[in-house]
Amino acid sequence: MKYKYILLIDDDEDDQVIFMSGIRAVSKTAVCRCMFNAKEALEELEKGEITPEVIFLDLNMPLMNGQQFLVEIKKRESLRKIPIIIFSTSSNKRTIDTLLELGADNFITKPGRYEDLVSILKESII
Amino acid sequence: MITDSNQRANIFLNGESEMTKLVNEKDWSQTPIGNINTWPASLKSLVGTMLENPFPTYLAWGKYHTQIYNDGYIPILGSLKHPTALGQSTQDTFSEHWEIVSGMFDQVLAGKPIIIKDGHYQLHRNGYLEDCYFDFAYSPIRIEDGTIEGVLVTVMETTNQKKAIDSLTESESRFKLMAENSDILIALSDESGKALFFNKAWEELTGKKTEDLNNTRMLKLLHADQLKEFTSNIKTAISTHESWSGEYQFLNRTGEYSWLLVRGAARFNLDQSFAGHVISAMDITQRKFSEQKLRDSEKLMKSIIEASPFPISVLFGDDLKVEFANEAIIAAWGKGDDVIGKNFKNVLPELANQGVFEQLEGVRESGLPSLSKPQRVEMNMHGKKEVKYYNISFNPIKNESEQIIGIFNSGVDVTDLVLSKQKIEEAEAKARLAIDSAEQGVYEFTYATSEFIMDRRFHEICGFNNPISLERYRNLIHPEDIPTRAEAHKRSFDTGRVNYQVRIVIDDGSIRWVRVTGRIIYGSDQIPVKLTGMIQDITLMILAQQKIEESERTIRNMVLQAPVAMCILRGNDYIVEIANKKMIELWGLKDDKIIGKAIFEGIPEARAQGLEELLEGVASTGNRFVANERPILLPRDGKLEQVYLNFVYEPIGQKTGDKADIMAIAIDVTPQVRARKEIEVVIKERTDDLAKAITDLRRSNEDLAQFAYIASHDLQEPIRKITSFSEMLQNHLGNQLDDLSVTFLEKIINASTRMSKLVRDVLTYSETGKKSEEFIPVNLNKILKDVVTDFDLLIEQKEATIILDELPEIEGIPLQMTQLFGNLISNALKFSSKTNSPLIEIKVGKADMTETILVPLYRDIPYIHIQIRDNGIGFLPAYGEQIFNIFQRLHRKTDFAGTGIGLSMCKKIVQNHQGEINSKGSSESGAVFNIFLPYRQSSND
Repeated sequence: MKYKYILLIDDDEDDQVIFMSGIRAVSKTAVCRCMFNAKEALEELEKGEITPEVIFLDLNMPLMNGQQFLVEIKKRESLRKIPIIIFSTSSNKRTIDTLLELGADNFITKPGRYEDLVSILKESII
Repeated sequence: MITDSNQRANIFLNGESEMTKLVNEKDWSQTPIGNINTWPASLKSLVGTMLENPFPTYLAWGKYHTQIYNDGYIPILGSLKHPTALGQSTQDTFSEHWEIVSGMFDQVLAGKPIIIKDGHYQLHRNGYLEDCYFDFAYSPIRIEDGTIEGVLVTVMETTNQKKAIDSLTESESRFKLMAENSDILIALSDESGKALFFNKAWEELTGKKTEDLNNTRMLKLLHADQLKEFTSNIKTAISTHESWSGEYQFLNRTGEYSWLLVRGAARFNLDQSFAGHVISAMDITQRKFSEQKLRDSEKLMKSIIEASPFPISVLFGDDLKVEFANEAIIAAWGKGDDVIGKNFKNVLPELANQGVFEQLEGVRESGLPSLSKPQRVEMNMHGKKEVKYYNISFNPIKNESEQIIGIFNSGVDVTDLVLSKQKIEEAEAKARLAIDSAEQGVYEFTYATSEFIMDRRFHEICGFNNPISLERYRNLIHPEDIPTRAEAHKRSFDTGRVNYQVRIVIDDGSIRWVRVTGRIIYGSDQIPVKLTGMIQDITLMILAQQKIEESERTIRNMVLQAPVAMCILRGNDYIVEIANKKMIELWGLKDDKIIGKAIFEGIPEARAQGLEELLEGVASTGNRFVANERPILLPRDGKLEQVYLNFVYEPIGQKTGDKADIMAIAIDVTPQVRARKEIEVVIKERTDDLAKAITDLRRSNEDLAQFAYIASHDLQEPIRKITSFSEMLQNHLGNQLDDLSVTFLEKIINASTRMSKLVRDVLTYSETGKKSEEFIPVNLNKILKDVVTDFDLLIEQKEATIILDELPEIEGIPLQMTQLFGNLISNALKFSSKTNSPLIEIKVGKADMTETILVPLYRDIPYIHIQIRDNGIGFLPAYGEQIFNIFQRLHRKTDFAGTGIGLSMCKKIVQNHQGEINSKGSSESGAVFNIFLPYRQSSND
């Protein structure tokens, strides 16, 4: 599945920069929006102000973390269908299992090397 | 609807049967035999007869065997064939059997009738399916001129007969079977006496096969002498219709005669005609033999008993009749000769109140023989009257089935025994009498006349048979004791009594102790007139006393010389009779003033510590008391100290009714006890320390693990960013960079990548040894094979050979085992020589624990020794231990990649499994790694 309109929710500025760069390297036409705050993101999604095709979701975030966001978004009829890809440093099996059970579509561990990120994104970004 | 043509001709077809109707209604012109009115007269009359005949009948007429049959035949045809069969050809109706049938028909049509007997049909009759049997008769049908035109089949049902015959056959065979298996001999003969049947038992007896016997007349086997009787029995049976029995001898296989108990009866037919004999017989040879033996032995026994001088009788039956009594017992009983047949109890009623009859009953019930007390019997022996004593014995007589059939009664002469016992008793009584009166002798001395009279005992005591003079008496006295006597006499003038104890020397030189007592009888003016008194031989008493004194002295010495503390306490107050130096010391006393005092007076500090009760217990019960390391407060250097004593209270010299004296033996074990207690304290402290240390260690391990976990995670993040941004920078600047810049950036990227791996390795390392992992049975073969598979590519690239021994299963953590072997094989492949292709050998064997520094955790768990050897570049032996240090590398990063954590990981894993790893390297022949691992992680003990 290749997506064009992407939402990244990650509280780390550097990670956002890296991600965006990666997207740019892979596609000229894909559009990516980054948000720092999961709660805000949820609100905007509910209001319909933002309509992504896919959400890349970090886990370790203050106020509302990735798991909480996942649970909340899956409760909403209108938003439930949006594919969620967990994008996190963790590689803990139990965490992965839990999130997949909660409805995440995929789990990607943040790669150590930039070029690895690029190849991962190549798979899914138009 | 009866056709006209049929009607005209069918006056004879008048019956009411179903077949009559069908025949009438049928259009016969369609059949080969044509209309009825064209039928020959014989056919018409035959059909008419057949139709009215209740028995199943059927005919097949003409060339085409056209069938006509009656009602009775319908069930035989069956519902499938009827009514089509009427007017049809036999060939069509019985097409399936036609081959056979036509053969038969041909024969019949040729003039030969056929009978088929007992044809089996299953017919529906009376509501259920029955097995039926029929006789079929096939006969030719001739017309007027004699030619055969058809086949007539008449049927006779034989079901009942067949059934009867069948059951007869069945019961016959059942009978035969029973007879064959019986041990009883069974024979059947016919009316002429010819043998019909001998069962197998006869074979056993005669040795001839039953087939042969069947041809022999049974009578031939009978003993000649008995032939007459036997035959008369048989004859009589025929007329009386009664059975007979008798014992007869028959010739057996050994050529001798066996005794058979024979029972016979005549058999009769229904019409009462004689049908033959049936004989059954049982071999009673053994019984007969033993009967004879019994009679013989009875005779023998009788003659033995008769001749015996011992009184013997045999009592038979519940009423104990005297079956037999020999002369000796008749004489002993003294009741006359006429005792045979009388009841034992009636013959000797005087035994009634002596327990003898009860004894007899007891023998009968229990089956055990018994012997009575001696019974006094007055006997006439050889004309003299004598008193004799007998122990009366009763022995049960049993038959083969262990039943008691009689009592064997005999007497044992114990007269001498009894009489001598009596003598002894008399002598004892006399002696006692003598002893009682043995001691005192009496004397009298008259002062005025110096007359000295004595009784017999007196001079006997002095060893004389006749009275002696005072002079004589005085001279008897032991020289040493003369003063004693003198003293006593002097005293007597004051007290009026004489009392002294002296030794006297008897003529034969022996010494006796005597006690002399006396009373002065005064005259009217208080002048002594007479001295009367007694003398007593107290030698034994004195000797006994001396002995006692001697043993007391011995004990005393023993106590004084003992190497342990000992004392003797006497009496209710536990007076210290004697105590040795050690005991005085133990009591904490400075001197032996306590001797002669009551113990608790001498050591008041010892009171109220339970010792009084213990002593009391020992003294009264006479049971020894042992104490071990008992703490007691005793004075030591003026202070009360708790000392530990092992001691024993031993009762001694207990006189009946009195309390025993007590000997106490004690050892001061205070030093040992103190030392031991100290050790115990130390051990406890150490144990506590150890427990605490373990807890601390565990906690710090957990802290460490947690720290490592967090650190590695947190460290990963900036590392990742460094790497990523460096790459992005590289991409971004692209060809704007000069070579040097590119190199710099690459170095940054490489360094941070390495750091990332390092952090990950540290994390893995720290996680090894977490106790949360469970030990399970691990198949090392599988682990190794998987590891080798992982390195497939590299192995191929390097053309490496890996030789694996068969590895066992051990208890371990699978993931860690994989890491262990993974690291070692990875190293072996990595550090291969440039010239040779790598050869890696993994060998396994039982561990020689001397090659390790391991202390096995459990004694019963053996260790395995795995050795990994390669032919690579090896390492200098000096580095053998160092290489296991974390991050330790022997080469530059550029020559061989790796963080240097691999071997330290291996070491940690092996240690986690209570094992050990060491290495032997050489720069010539490669590296050798020895791994020692236990088979199990926990003991079965």
